[in-house]
Amino acid sequence: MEIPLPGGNSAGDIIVVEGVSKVYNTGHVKVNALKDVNLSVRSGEFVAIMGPSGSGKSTLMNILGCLDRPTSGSYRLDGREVSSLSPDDLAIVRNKKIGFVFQTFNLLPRLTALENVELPLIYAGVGPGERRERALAALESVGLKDRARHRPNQLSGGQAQRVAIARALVNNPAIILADEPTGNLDSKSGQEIMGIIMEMNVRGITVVMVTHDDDIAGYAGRIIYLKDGDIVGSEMKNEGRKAATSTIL
Amino acid sequence: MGFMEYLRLAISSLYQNRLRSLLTLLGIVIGVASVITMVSIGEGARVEVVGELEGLGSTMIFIQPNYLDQDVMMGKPVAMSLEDVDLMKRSSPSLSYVSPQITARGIVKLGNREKRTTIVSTNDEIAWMQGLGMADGRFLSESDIRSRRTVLVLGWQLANELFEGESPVGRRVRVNDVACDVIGVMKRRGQRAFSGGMDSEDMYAYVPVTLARRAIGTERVQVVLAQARDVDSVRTAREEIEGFLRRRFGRDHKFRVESAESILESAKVIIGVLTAILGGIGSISLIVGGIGVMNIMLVTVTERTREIGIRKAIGARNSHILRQFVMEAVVLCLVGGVLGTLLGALGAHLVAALSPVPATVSPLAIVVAFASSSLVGLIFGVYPAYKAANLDPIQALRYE
Repeated sequence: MEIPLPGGNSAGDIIVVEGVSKVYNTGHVKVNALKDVNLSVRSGEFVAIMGPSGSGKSTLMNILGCLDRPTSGSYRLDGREVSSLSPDDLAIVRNKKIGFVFQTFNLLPRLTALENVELPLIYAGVGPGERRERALAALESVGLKDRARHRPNQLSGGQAQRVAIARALVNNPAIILADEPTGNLDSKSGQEIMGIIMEMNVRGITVVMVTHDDDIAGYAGRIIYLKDGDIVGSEMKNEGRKAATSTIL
Repeated sequence: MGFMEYLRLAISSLYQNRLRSLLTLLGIVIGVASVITMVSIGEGARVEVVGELEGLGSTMIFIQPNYLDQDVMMGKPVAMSLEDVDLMKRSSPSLSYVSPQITARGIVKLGNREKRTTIVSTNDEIAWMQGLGMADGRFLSESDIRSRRTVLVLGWQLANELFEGESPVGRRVRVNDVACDVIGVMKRRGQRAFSGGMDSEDMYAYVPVTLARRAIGTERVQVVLAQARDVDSVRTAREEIEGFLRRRFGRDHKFRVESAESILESAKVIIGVLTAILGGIGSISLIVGGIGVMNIMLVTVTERTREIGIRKAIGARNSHILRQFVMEAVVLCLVGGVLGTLLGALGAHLVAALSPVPATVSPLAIVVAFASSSLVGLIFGVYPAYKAANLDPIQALRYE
């Protein structure tokens, strides 16, 4: 179904999804995880995606994150059609354009916080010296410079998620994709994390976040509701964003 | 991502699973060590046999029954008489020495003490030909042969066992009930690696060929040792002997004429095959070690599915993941290669010290072991790494 989008398909759209469907073929049963989804996200926007489990949130996030390709339809990320790229080209897009923040942090347990943040730069081919410098700067921006040598199991949940955010930011991505970023945190740490995400957004980074928590979704400027693989509603929340921003800054 | 980056990553991963890495390593260590030891034994055998044959001198020619001939194999007696040997010498001007060898088992007796051993009935030319030195006394002389003297030369060990330290020269012993005076004792020749189950030459007793009928009951000559005048006349000498044998015994005579050189050539071929077989046996354990590497790499990949998912999500390409895991397997195998080479060298030294085979670790063996262990790492590391590289990032991220 068509949802009128603010700004339309203007040049300011960093994400443009048109007619995207995803069909999973599990043996003899076909599952339509996404049905003809259209979505545009403006550069610098903060969008929350909500919906019950099985609504296609994860599938949409996987496609937006270039971890998966749509069965049909078009996906332009930062002006480039990425729906039919090879796995290796998708890896390059993920590396350069996308920062992931996962519910379970997904840090490598054997590496220090600093080394975890350095990882995307390693795959981007950045040399050791610059890597260290940029990773330290990213850690500093989330207030964890003094934890650089700690391993993930020596960090609290909130700290681990902040390291993950530093890792997502270190390659200056076009968008941050956050999948239930506060799902594994107590409410105080959750608020801290949302504060950092808001701060990033205020600095101009586009954020797309999946959540089923209304309070968390309240930080976003726009909420998109998904059900049975369809976008069934959309809500602008400009005051919410302003309010949240002002409480943090 | 550079080579050193992968290396560092591989070493840190292997170090995380120290015990497992060590045990996997052990398979490669044993494999490489056995390849090195086996090839070293083959190499030692080559050095030993080649040295032994070269020691005979390149002008040596052997005439003996052709044991590959069907009639000879079926037991047809092939021999020439002493007259034939004389005729051969006279008709072959390129030969400087000709020595018939009539060999039989017999008993050498001193008082009540007796030894059953190999009696060689020959002439005075054999000692000179083979460069055998004397420990005491002298070898058979031309006049001993001509005068059919009842004299005897003892091998070093036989002399010791019979006389137990007393001087044997001048003493009288009985050779198959013929009383003979001991005129000399040969120098010790030492144990040979490949005696073929025969008596050591140190146990031989030598009597004049003219005493053969009396002492050992036969004058049938099966083996003749000859020597060409010089290296250049070996071929002519062989042709002269062949010609003589054809004239004397017919076109299809059952003798085989070989020079030291031609024997050396076939010995080299045989030992080459032996070395290949030994190396092959060693390789089997290397392959088993490789399967161990593959096994553990598959486990590692499964265990680290989530890590692979994370790496892919943040931008690792398939080739990055592939190289990461191949590097782990190769590092494992190369470290195994180094340790295995050391162990194999130790094994070769033990073999050399405890057995007559002078096993030597050749640079070739080390190169082969290294090449094969890194090849094993590649071959058995590629499949698990390929599996890792082609994991679906979404499923890998979901893996618990």
